[in-house]
Amino acid sequence: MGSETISPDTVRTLGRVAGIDIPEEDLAPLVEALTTHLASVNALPTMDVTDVEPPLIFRATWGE
Amino acid sequence: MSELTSLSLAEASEKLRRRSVSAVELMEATLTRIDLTEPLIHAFAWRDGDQAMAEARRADSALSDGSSHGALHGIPIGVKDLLYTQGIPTEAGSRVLEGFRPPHDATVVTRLRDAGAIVVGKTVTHEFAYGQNVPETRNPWQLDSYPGGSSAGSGAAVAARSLFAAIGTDTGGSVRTPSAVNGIVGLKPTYGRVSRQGCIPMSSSLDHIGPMTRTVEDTALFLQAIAGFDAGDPGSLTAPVPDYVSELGAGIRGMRIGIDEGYFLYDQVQAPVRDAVEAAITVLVSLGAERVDITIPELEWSTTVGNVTTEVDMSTWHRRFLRSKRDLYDPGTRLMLELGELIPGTHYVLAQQVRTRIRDAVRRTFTEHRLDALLGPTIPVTAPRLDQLSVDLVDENTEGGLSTLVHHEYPANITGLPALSVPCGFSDAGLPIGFQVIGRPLDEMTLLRIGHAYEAVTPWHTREPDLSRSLPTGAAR
Repeated sequence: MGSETISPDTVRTLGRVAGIDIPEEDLAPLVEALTTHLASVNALPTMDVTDVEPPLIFRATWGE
Repeated sequence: MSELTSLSLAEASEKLRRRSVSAVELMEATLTRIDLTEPLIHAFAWRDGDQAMAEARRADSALSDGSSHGALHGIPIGVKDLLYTQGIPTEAGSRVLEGFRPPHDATVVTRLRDAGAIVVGKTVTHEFAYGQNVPETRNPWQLDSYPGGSSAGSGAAVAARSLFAAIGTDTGGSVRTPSAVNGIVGLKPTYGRVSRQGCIPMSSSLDHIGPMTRTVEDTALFLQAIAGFDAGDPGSLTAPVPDYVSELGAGIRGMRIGIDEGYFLYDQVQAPVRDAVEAAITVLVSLGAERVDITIPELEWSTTVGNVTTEVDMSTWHRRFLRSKRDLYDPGTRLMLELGELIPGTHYVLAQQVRTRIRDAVRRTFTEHRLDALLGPTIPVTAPRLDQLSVDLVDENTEGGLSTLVHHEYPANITGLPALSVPCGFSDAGLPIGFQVIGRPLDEMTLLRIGHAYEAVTPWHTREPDLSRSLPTGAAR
């Protein structure tokens, strides 16, 4: 998803996928916010992070 | 202003212990001060003077019986309205939670009560601490200036001498920013050091709870009461709690303090802030610390990692409310919650991977340079005027923009490291400036020693905002 593809329709569609009805007045600021978000994420390092375990913890033990 | 309300928490505690002042006298002075300041700074979301006085009388009875609870016994404090307080309104600054009265206290509130503190009231927060609305709270140093967020009420009340201390929460600087702009001390402890149980969450991995006080010693006393393992918080650490007070005066000779100019003194740092922090470094060096210039390029990713994590975590927690009570949110908060729903899962996981890289880089720097702490401005700017504050979602780098305000704060949240903000000067316009020291995991003690040593030779923490010009003619001052 490149920043050039963000439009009110994109936001509306993403909202539908997420299961929320986005009010009309929120579409324009969300286009801007999502564009900024994408630019920020795209600027994250191009380094290989495939060996990095994200700190999302799931414990398989039952703690009993 | 009553001399009693100008005392530090430690001084007030000592007077209570010696019985040279009673808890009732202290509470009366506090309530009088609040009545005077509240019409100007609007720091409280809820307060109950009668209940506070009743507790003060019980505190005096206990003292008469020789049964003090310790350093916080009889001390009036405030609690950010993001934390559960049993039977007391807890609305997080939002109509979504209007009328909510929790069935129990947050763990930190329980611990503060057990330590003898008296909760005078709940302090104002931005809606769910998310910072998109501007609450009614005002900065006591200049009423038209930003009081910090999201623990705005806690910061303003402590600075205005309306409270001796208050609890704040910090997900992207919300203890440290209001501490810096209000000229007080604020500590974000190590992740897991202080229980989050009973705190309405923003981000489970970024949320921290910490003290906001007028001196570093007061912060140490406060931390002593709230730190320690709590089975009710899945992230709580079992490490023993040290005595934070006894070694405060151990000095800082030989400490190595890392300065990353490229990140913490970058070009968005205002000149008065830069000058004050450079002067603070000089003071610390004169006290025996060593300045070590370092660079951690990975910190540049902190804001993106912090934003993505917070946005998605917030929207996850609010998922049900956004669908059932959408119209009750402030429009800015609603917008942020919608944004979090639109962010791809891959971006969230990538942010967590980069977060690990940042943590590793910081750890490596501490080890290779044998650092005791990092130091920089708490925030790059003094409090923006409220009419110049930008909460625009796409406002990246203007002086009043939110991204600028969180730039220096997120590194400690995403690494979970302890960070202490200490007053270190004022701008020509009379607005406070703070520096921040970031330490090793669970090494709050070193940060407190640095702050305490600095306070011992500088006057900034003793200054009080002059609200008298704004008070009605004839009001007791």
